[in-house]
Amino acid sequence: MAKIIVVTSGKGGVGKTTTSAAFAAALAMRGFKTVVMDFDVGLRNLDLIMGCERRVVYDLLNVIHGEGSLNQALIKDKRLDNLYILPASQTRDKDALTIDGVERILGELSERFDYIVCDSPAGIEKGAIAAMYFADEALIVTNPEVSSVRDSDRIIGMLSSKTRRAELDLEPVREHLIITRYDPRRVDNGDMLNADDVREILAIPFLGVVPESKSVLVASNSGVPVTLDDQNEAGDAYLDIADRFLGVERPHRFMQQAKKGIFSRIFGGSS
Amino acid sequence: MMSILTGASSDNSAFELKGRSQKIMYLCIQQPDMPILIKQMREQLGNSPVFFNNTPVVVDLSAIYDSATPIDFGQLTNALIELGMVTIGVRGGNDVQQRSAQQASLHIFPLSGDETITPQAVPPLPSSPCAKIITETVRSGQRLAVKGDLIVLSSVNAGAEIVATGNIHIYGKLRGRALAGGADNQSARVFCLKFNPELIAIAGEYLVNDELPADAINKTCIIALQNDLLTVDPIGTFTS
Repeated sequence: MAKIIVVTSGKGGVGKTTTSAAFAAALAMRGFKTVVMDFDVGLRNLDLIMGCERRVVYDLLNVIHGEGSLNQALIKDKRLDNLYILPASQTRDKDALTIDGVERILGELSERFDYIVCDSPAGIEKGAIAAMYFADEALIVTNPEVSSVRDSDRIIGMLSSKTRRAELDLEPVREHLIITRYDPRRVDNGDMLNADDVREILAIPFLGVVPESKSVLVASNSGVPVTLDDQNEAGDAYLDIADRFLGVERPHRFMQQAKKGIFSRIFGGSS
Repeated sequence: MMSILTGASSDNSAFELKGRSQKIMYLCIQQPDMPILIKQMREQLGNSPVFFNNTPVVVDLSAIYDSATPIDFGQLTNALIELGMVTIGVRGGNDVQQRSAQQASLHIFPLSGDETITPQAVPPLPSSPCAKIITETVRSGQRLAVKGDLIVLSSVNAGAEIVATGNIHIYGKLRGRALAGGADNQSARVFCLKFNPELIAIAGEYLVNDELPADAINKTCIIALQNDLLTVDPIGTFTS
C-alpha cells in the first residue's frame, strides 16, 4: 500500500508544484517507487515543471471517466526509473473531479507505488478537497509572509475536518511544514517572517526551509525538478527535506545568512 | 428596602409589609450558672455600651441542652438590656428550658439547618458540566461556540473565532477573535497568556485590535467589562 502525500498551501504561487516535483523526484532518487499526480484541473502545470508536457496523451480525468486506462495516462520520467507523472486535464474544470473517481485511481496506484504525491490546486474548494481527501501525510508549503501563513493555517484546519481520516475518526493526517522562498537576509532586515515565527503560528512539525533561489525559475522553465539539478541550493534543501520526511536526521541549512568572507566584504561580492 | 406586599394596590393602603434584613446576634451560653454568666458579661461587654444599641439578640441554648439547672430568663433579659441588647427569643435547648423561656415572653426560633445538634447528611452538590477544553490550535476559518466556559490549551490563530456564554481562558496566544459572555453575561472575563486579538468582546461590547491599549499587546491579560467598558489589564508578560 502506498503512502498518499498531499502538497498543499491554500495560497497560490507559494511553490506547491515545484515542491511536489522536487519532493517526488527526491523520493524516487532515494529508491522509492513514486508517482506525482496533478490535481490542478484546468490549470495544469506539473507536466511543465517535470518536463513531460509534450508526452501527455491521457490525463487524470480521462481515467476517472473511463476514456483511457491508468497505464495510458501515467508518464514515466526519462531521468528516474522510479518516477511517474499523472497529469491533470487542461480542458476541464475542477467540478469534473469526483471523490469516488479519485478514490478508485488512488486505489489502483496504491498497489503499484510506494508513494503517491498529490499536487493540490490553490484555494479551499473542490479541487483542493479532492487532493487532500485521501491523504495520509500532508506537506504544507508556506512562504514567510503573513497572508501565506494564514491561508496555510486554514488548510491545516481543513485537513483535520475535511479528509477521510477526519470523517472516519482515524489517526489524523500527519502534517509537515515546509517554508519556501526563504531569504535569511530579508528576514534579518525584517521584510520577511522568521521561520520560528511561522512555526509558532502553525504549530506543526517542521521539515525545513527552501532558500529563495534564482535557479528554481531556471529549472522550472527547463522542466527539471530542482532536486535533479546539480549546483542548486533549493535542490539540496529539498533532498534534506525528503530525508527528514523519511526519518533521517539532517542538520538545518539555509536558515542563516552566509557569513561574508573578508574578500567579498572588500570587493562587494553579492551573496 | 424592597416592598413585597401591600394591603391594596391603591395609594391609600393602610399598611405596607417590607422585607429587610437586620443583623441578629446569638448569645451562646456555655454554662447555666446565672450569676457567673451575668458577671462575666458585665466585665467583658460593659466597657463598650455604645457598641450595643438595642441590638436584637437570640439566646442560643444548644451548648447547655443537657443541663438540668433552671434558667431565670427574666434576670438574663434584664442584664442584657443593661448592656444594650434586646432579647427577642431563644433557640436550641431542651423542652424545660424552652418552656421557661416562653413563660418569660420569649419566642422560640428554630436552629438553622447547618447548626443542628444532629447534623443531617449534606446533600450532594448537583453535578454541573465542566468547561469545554480544547487542546488543538484553533485555526484560521474555524469557529467554536460553547455554552459556559471555554478553555483553550493552545493558540487561537488569526481568522479563527471562539465564542462562549461564560469565561474564556487561553493558554497560548490569542490572534483571532474571542467573544465571551454571550449576549448579556457582563460578569464574564477573558484570560489570555499572550494577547493580540483581531477582536475581543464581552457581552456584546467589543474592541478591535486598533482600539486596544498598546501596552497590553502581547502581554498576559485579563479582559473584563466594567460600567459597559471593556478593560484590558496586563498582568505580566508571557515568555515562550
